[in-house]
Amino acid sequence: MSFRASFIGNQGRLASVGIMLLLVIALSWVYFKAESVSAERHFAYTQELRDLRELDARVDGQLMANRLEQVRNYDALTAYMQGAAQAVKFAFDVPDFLADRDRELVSDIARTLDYMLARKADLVDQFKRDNSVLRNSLAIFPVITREFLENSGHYSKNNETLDHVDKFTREVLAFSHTPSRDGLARIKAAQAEIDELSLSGDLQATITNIVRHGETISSRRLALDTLMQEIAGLRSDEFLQSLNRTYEEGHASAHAMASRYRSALYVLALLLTSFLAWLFIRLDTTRRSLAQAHGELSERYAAQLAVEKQLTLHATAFRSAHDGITLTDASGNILDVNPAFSRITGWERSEVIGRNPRVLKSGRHDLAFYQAMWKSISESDNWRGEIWNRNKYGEVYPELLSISAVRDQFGKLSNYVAVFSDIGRIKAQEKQLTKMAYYDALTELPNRTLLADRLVQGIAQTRRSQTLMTVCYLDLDGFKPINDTWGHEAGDSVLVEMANRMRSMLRGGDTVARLGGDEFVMLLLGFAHIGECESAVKRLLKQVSLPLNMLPEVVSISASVGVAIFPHDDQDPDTLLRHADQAMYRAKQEGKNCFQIFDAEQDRFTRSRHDHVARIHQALDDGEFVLYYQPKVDMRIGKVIGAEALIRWQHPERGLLPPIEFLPFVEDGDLIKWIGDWVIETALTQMEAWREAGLEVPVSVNLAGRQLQSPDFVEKLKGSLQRHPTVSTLLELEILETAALEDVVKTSRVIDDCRELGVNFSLDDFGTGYSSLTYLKRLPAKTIKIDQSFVREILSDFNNLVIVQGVIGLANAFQREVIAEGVETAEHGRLLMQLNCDHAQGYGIAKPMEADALPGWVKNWRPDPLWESIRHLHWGSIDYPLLIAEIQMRNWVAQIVYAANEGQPIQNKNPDDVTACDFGRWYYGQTQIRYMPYPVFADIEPTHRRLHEIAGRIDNAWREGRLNDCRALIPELLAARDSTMELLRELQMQVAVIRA
Amino acid sequence: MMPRKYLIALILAALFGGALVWVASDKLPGGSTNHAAPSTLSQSILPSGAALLPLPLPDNQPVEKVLLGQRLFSDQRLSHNDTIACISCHDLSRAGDDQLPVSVGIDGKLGAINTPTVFNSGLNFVQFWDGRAASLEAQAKGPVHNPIEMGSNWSEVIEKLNKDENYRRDFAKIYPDGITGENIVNAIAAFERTLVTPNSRFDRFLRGEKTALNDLEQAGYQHFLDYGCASCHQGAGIGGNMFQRFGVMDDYFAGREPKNVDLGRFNVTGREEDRHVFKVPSLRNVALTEPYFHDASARTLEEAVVLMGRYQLGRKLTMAEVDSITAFLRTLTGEWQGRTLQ
Repeated sequence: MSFRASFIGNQGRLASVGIMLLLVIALSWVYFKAESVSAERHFAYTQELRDLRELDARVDGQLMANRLEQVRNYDALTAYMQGAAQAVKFAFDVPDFLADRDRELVSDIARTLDYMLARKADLVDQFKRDNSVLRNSLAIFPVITREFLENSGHYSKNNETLDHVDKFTREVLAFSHTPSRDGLARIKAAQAEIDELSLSGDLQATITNIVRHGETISSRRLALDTLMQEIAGLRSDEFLQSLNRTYEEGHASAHAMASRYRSALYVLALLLTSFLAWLFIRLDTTRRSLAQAHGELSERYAAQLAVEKQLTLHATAFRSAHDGITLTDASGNILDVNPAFSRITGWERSEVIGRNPRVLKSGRHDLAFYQAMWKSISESDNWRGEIWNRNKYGEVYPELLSISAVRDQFGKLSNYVAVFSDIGRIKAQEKQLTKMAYYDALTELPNRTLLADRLVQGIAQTRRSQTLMTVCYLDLDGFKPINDTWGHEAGDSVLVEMANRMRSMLRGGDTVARLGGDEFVMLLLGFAHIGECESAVKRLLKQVSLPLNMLPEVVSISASVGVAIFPHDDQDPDTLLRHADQAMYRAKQEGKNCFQIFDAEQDRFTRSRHDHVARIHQALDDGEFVLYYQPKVDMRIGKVIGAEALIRWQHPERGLLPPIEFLPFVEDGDLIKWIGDWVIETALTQMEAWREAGLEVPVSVNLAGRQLQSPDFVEKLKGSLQRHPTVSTLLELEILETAALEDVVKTSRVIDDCRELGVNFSLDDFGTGYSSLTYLKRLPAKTIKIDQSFVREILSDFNNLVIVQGVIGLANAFQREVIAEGVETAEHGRLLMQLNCDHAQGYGIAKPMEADALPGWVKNWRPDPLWESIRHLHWGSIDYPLLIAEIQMRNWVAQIVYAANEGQPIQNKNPDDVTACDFGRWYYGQTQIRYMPYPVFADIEPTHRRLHEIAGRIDNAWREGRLNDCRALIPELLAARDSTMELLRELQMQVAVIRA
Repeated sequence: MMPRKYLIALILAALFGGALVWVASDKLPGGSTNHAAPSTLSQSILPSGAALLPLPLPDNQPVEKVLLGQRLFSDQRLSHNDTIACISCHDLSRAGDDQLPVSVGIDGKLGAINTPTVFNSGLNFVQFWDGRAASLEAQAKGPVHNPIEMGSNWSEVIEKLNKDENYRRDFAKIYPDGITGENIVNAIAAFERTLVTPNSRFDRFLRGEKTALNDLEQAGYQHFLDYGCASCHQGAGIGGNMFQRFGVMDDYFAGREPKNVDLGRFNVTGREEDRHVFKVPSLRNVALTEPYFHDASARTLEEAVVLMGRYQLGRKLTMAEVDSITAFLRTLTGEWQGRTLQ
């Protein structure tokens, strides 16, 4: 245990590293020691020694072989001797693993041996020389002696000489075979005998030569023997053996030493291995225990995390619960409450912690109640019920309380949990639900259900009070295009605005409800007579048609209102509503922006739309429709330029009916297309008839949107034109601007196709839609017809004048023709001519007439003299303010005249201030520079001033209550107006440009 | 955790396996390489008893070294004034010597001794007449430094050769230490060892082509053996493997003007017994290497044979014998580069 501790500690680690290091160092040292006896080196050295011995032995062998004439050349001998001399040098290089003492010993022997071999080489060299000479003499000796002996006859027969030589020869040969001291002596003796002979010339030389060779043989033989002995005496082989032995001993002892080191190495390696093994086992044991500990920790940590997560969850639930939660200990003291508790009871958390929930008691429940409650808790650990409690501010409120007892693992009561919800909130929700059932979500107006209820109440109340109740059924005109143009959000905002406007008109007991879409119903109670009803409805219409500001553009929409008045129309609520609906429908037919009071008389005709359609269809079949024609003229050149065909229904019972009476019923069906076809066909036929009668009048025909959109329209038109080829180029088509905009792409394609057939288009009622310049650009209609609602008002409504002027400018800019509808007076026509619009149509020219009447009318028509007077004049746009000033003045006067007649205050402040009116602002403004050159401009000033004087007088009279005086001043005012107008006209004439 | 454990185990196993393989492959330390190293014995000529032996073919020498040696052999820059090359005296087109009594060295200086042929010089057991050089390498140093031969020294020669980019490159290819005296003579000696002239008619005869020699020549060969010529002129080189005194049977130098070179090996060892002792020259190509003997005293082959008979063999040869022996000697002319020497 203590070792383990020290092992784990820092010192222990240092110690174990130290042990390892020491072991490794020792191991390395011993390893090098053990390896020092290189087997390789030993093998090489031994080989060298063996080679040396071998070479030395071979030298000896070659010596002997040469000596014995077995070998007669010295190549091998020389090679071996040189080899040995070389090999001994290698032996000097004693392996260094030998102990120093041994190495010195071996070196010494090697050096001796080297010296010895050098000596031997010398001796061998000598041997070669002597052996050669001996061999040579031995070869010659027998030859020359034989020659001498055989040729002895040539010489004098001297037997003595012969004998001596013979003896010498034999002695030499014998000696050469077996040398001996005696032999040598005998040779000497024989030689001496020969020397004693006195011989002549040749013989002497021959014998001397024999003797010389003999001497050579004997001496060299002896010398060779001595050499051989000396070589043998060197005992090089023994030295070699000794060298070898000494080396082997040295090696053996070195090897033994190395073996000991190897043993030590083995032991050390074993030690190191055991140490490592021990370390590994320890490490493994530690690792296992660590892994186990890690596993346990991980589990605990995971569990902890899960608990934390759950706690967070519970805490979140606790904090964000809508219900109040109270936690108490076993004795009922509050441990914690949630925010909902504080919200419901008014008690802050810090105020109630540690207190008993009985602070909440309202005192409304008796003791028995609480006893029953606690009985239930102690029996079933649970209680649930409604209870009245008191909040911090003393208010008593109902709550739905649920109490649960919490017990620990031993079943001992440890806590109570009380959860309660404020029932007051539930009640509020009920109220909300109710509202949803009776009110429209968008406008928050009562819906149809609540309306029915109010209607019942209204009827009852009206009966009681003996007054009139008005049921107004209101439908917005032109609401759909708003939706289409700016989207439903814009539409919704318009609906909300309308709701607010209607709501603002309500008095006590009145109701406004939304039935859905753009349909509203107003119940207005307590009217004394029907006039009151009507003026109320008018107010309603006015309110509705006020400009709307919440849209991208300022627009006004109107409404059509149907009115049913109770008890004049003494019906049940449903019927009243239906009658109002029918009246509304009639109002629509009447041209919108108006109201109709339900007339029981008319009820039969308007019972149902279905009846109408069937009847209209029958009218078409029965030929009850007729075409009326309204001429179109060019006011400047005084010529009829065409006619517009207008459909009428010659109703057998109701007389002549305008299209508004029947077309709205068929707009959405196929019938409208058939009617359209009939109109085109009829118009073409009529033109043919007129043409035959000598009158060529272009006729324009109104097209319904639906007819235009029908796929076969162009084909059908083509067929009609082919049937009436002579007048085919005289046909024009008119389409409502609003209808054209329904599908601009399709419409423009149809217009293009028709143009190819020679049929041009007019955009009818231009200005009533939501035309943008882009659309106008894309609709290739030839003509633009300014809607009569604008034209009619140009003399009295400054805004309409501006609109008309704008449309004319637009048409000119797009190079379209323009024609004004609704020209009701010559004045209208004059103003339009001044604004550069020469084409006109309207009651001021001619009302629609039957076809038969037209030729006569054309023949007799002359343009108005007013127009004739200015037919050559044109006004540039710079003078438009001048034209407009006239209108402004006229309007200003009209207001004062109205006020004077009605006895109402003049709305213009300071009527005697000449610069306060629009005209004055124009007159005294920038205009002066332009018109100063014209004397008549200066003349205007006093008459204008007079206008204001009279107006001031009227104002004073009204202030002093002299209403009659007010009215009396009117003619004077009008006279001043007219003289001013006259001067203005004169100015207009003077500034105008005369054009051919 | 687990992968690291496996990794350690894998490394340990690999180390252990590697060690096993290493131990197994080295069980016989250096065994095979050592056996490959040739011993002096295996190279030696197998002993053959006959006096004369056919000329062996030259050892294989490294080609690059031989080519370098050949270039050096004919390079005059090895002399002091760039006039004398090895080849100036050892003219390979003149049987390896200059066929002059003594050679002409630097500045026209005359040598003291007859120039031996360079052909087959590798077979000589020592070099020079007095055997003072134990090897061809040692020999090659001699003339370079000899003031009457090339008259130069290594530092001078090396400086000159170092200026030659080709030499620098070629030496560097073979010798790590580049151009040195040792390397110069090593290359030259390697070239000289290739100057072997095998395939003489006599060699062919010895190999069994009995018609290679005519009767006269065969008779000469017999005399050569019988009369003791072959006692000294033996072996493959027919001489060149021993020393012998000039004047064995009679005093050759008696009555001649004594010259230092006549002392022979005495000049090397200083031993009395070596006075007038010379290396027995090889008789290969002897017909082409006149004049003969160290002092060029024999102008013709016949003269040399007669003198040899008299002073070395102690025998007076008849004209017929001389004729046959010289005829035999002329069969010893061998081939070099595929052609018989001229």
